[in-house]
Amino acid sequence: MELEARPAPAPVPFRGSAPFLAKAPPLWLPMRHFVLSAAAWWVFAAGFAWGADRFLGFDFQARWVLGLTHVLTLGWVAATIFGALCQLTPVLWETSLASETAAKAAWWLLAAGLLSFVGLIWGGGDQYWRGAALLAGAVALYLFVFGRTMRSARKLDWTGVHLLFAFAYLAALVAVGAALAWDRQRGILFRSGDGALIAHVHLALVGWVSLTIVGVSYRLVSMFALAHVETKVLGRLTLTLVNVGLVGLALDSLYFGRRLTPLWASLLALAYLAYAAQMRKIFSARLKRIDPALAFTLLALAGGALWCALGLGLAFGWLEDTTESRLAYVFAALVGWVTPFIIGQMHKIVPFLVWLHAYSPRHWTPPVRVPTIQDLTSERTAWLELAALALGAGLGVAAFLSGSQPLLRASGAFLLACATLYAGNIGYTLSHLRKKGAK
Amino acid sequence: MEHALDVCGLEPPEPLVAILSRLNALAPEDVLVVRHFREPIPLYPYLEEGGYEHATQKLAEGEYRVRIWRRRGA
Repeated sequence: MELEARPAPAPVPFRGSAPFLAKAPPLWLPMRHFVLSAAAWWVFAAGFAWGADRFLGFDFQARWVLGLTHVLTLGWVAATIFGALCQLTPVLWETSLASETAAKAAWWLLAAGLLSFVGLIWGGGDQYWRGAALLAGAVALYLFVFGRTMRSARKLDWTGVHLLFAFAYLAALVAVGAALAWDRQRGILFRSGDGALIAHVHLALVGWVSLTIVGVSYRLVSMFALAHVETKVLGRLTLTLVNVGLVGLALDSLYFGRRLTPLWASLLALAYLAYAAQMRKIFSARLKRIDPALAFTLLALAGGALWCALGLGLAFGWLEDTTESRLAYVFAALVGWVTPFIIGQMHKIVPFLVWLHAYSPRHWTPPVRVPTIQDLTSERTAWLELAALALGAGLGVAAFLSGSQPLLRASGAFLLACATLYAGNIGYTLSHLRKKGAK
Repeated sequence: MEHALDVCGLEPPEPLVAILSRLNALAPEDVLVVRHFREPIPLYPYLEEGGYEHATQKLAEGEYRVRIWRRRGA
């Protein structure tokens, strides 16, 4: 082979100038979401640790619990998902984000809505539907941005199909949630506030969040595990069962007095079983060791199984339907299933984005010396986060089921440790932007 | 002459780094044949800008072959 010397490239910015970044959304669009969500996760964990005594023996609609739950669901879960989708949807669908301006405006509305909604709940005011209106505006803007981006997609892949359903459920849950907030003092719209709340919670946890996780996991977990298997047979079964079970549960809760709850719960549990079987295939075919991100995904799968078991227990009456058992059920979903999945993916996504913007050069002259993704994050800290979250989630569910205050306090302490370590680790990753003078 | 490069066991963005690191040594008549686990979309703008052409084939689920060569006159 004859090697030909190439002329030296013209001087150009070396770092963070990869050509495809011209089409990618600006770094601080997803990143502002991730910073907001890390702060919300920390506030939730601190509030949970500090106010653990308020969780047991109180009505689950009590203001403290209601506010803290929305810090977790809107600030931590929704902000992370919206930020990730700002980055992911253009990549998935090989197009540009429809409107960066609208996405930024949506972030401001989300942040303002979260602060006012939770602030008004905690402040004792009755006007917190105003915060809900801001949040509804934020969601409408996000749906506009992602919908327009989807319209210009070259093809809608399997993850995109899941996101399409998730967006529909997001719109439905906001409609039910806003109506619930408005109707809470009036009692006009919903004859059974409990049924409407159950519909709202499941549209959020199953339809919006879990379908997003399931769809995204087929893409991201496969990529991070370096495992590629056919996803569509079990995936189609999962998607069908989720849709039938969730729509049935929501309509039954809203209008028919929850007569068939065991049937809908069984369908949703079967959907989870099919999804877990698919994930087992992916993990079996992986080419790399279990790193913290994959371990977080395994923890999420265990948390999801616990969530399903508690749901079946409540639906079939094996578990007494008390405030505490409902809290255990929702806690298992949010802290046991959703949170580990989010943290696991964030430990890949954030360093990857920072790497792209700080280290991806336009011209490459061997030998190329750039850090790896692993250099941008602390693996040891991530393992500690995992241990703290596993203990916090497990102890929390046990505490709610047993009514134990000491266990609840211990759970809160572990969750706070996890959130603090997570914030520190993400901060460490972001510090590479400053050190390297990236754009 | 064909040069083989397998990046299937590498985690993103290491495949990108490995591929781009090999391009400067590619003679006009050479072809770099890359075995990849997914379609390397972020790579394409680099190739276009650097004066390379490529052809990607999906061989199976999780297996792609990318052939890269210098554009004539580049």
